[in-house]
Amino acid sequence: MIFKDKEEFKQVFLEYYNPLCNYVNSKIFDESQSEDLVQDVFLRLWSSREDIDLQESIKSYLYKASHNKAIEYLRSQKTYENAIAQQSLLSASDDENAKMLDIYIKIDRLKKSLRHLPPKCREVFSMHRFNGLTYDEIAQSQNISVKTVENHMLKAIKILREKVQRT
Amino acid sequence: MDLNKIILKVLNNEATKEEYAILESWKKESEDNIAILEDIRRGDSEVNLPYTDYDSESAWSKVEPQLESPSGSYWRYALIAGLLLLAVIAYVAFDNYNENRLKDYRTDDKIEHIVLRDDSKVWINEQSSLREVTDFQGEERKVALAGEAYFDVEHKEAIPFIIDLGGDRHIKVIGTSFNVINVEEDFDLAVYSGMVELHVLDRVIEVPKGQRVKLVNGSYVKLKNKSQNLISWKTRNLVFDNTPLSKVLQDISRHYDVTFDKKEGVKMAQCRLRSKFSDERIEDVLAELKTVFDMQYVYTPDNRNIQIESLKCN
Repeated sequence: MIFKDKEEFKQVFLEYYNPLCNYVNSKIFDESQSEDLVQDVFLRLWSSREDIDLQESIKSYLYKASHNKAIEYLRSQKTYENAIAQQSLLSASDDENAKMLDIYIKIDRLKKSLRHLPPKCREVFSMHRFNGLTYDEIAQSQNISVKTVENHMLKAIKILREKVQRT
Repeated sequence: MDLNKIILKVLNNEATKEEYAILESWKKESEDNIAILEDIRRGDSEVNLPYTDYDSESAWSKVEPQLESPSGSYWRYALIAGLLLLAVIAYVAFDNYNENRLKDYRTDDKIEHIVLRDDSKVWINEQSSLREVTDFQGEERKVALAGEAYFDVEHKEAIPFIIDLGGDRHIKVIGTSFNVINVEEDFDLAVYSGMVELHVLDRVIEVPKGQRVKLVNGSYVKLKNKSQNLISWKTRNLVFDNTPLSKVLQDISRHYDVTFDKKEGVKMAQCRLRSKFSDERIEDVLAELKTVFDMQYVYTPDNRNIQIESLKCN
């Protein structure tokens, strides 16, 4: 049996749900459909948990299952846009795809640890690190001084360091 | 030199050779240190990747009920099915009985979200009460309100929705959303969609979306509804968009039920804030003001008072 109990399954769900949805959405360009497909993958995993003999990591299983779901979905939708999306989906190598999922897993992890930052601090940090805004631009858009932006950034790094060290 | 500053400089490609060396030796100290740096550095290469923050907790609550329970014998299933059937019968019977009774909701120190029998949704603020006056079967849907509530009324052309506010006023709508404060002389109606009819004695005031009616010195005054924070008690969000600090403090004291006093000589006329608080604790909000305005203050939780000692604006 893969999971000891439902709680363990839940942990896997919470860890991979967001990255998988992002991965599938990057292929099919439909956010709510992506969520449906990924939820399907998890439901299927749970109902067949006694029969599956995992030869690989749970991550690779989830990746493959979601990937196949995405292809299946695109095949069922016979529109021109989907034909193109399907083409690019099939042409990307397995390696590239797996890497893409890894990136989404990492982003997800960083975002989760960002939750420990105070709101303003988090906003400034994300604007700088994720949206690539300069201190000046952040200062202008937020109506604060560059010095304040720098203080927020320093605080963010301090908290993130403590956070990672504790876990 | 402060390590945090060095990390920041390295991330921004502004570090000197010495600083790089310091960072390198820090990295050698442990795996953790490398992981931290990686974590923080992330984003650079991934800035352009489309990313959506899917809500995995709420997805889980959707998925969980669909998970079948652990396998068991046929009899166990039969027993469960039997019990379920009984529960359903009991529920239907109880529901039938309940449906004919007029409900009375009272909140003490919490906010309640209810769905009325016509599927209209109501958020009832603390220390308020909402009572069903009719059973919604006849010509009108009628409730009575004392206190504050936000209504999202189901559109039903033929059956108007009426809110009895006591005394000489009531509200009549077909289907819209709006917030009402109805506490004796404190009356405030803000409309968020559709149109609301406010009846006072034999006068009718029509209040369309985006408008607000407030009782000021005994007369009803029509205002533009500019404040997004009027219903912060329901949305849990306080939004400030270049808002004067005096107004910010007003909204904060309303939302958190606190009072602000300032030391003589503290000036805030020039201060403006752009920020958003989503369900934060008052302590975090104050910490934020401290960062932005360098605000020095004393917070006394016992009497929910904040004394502002000093602050300055950028």
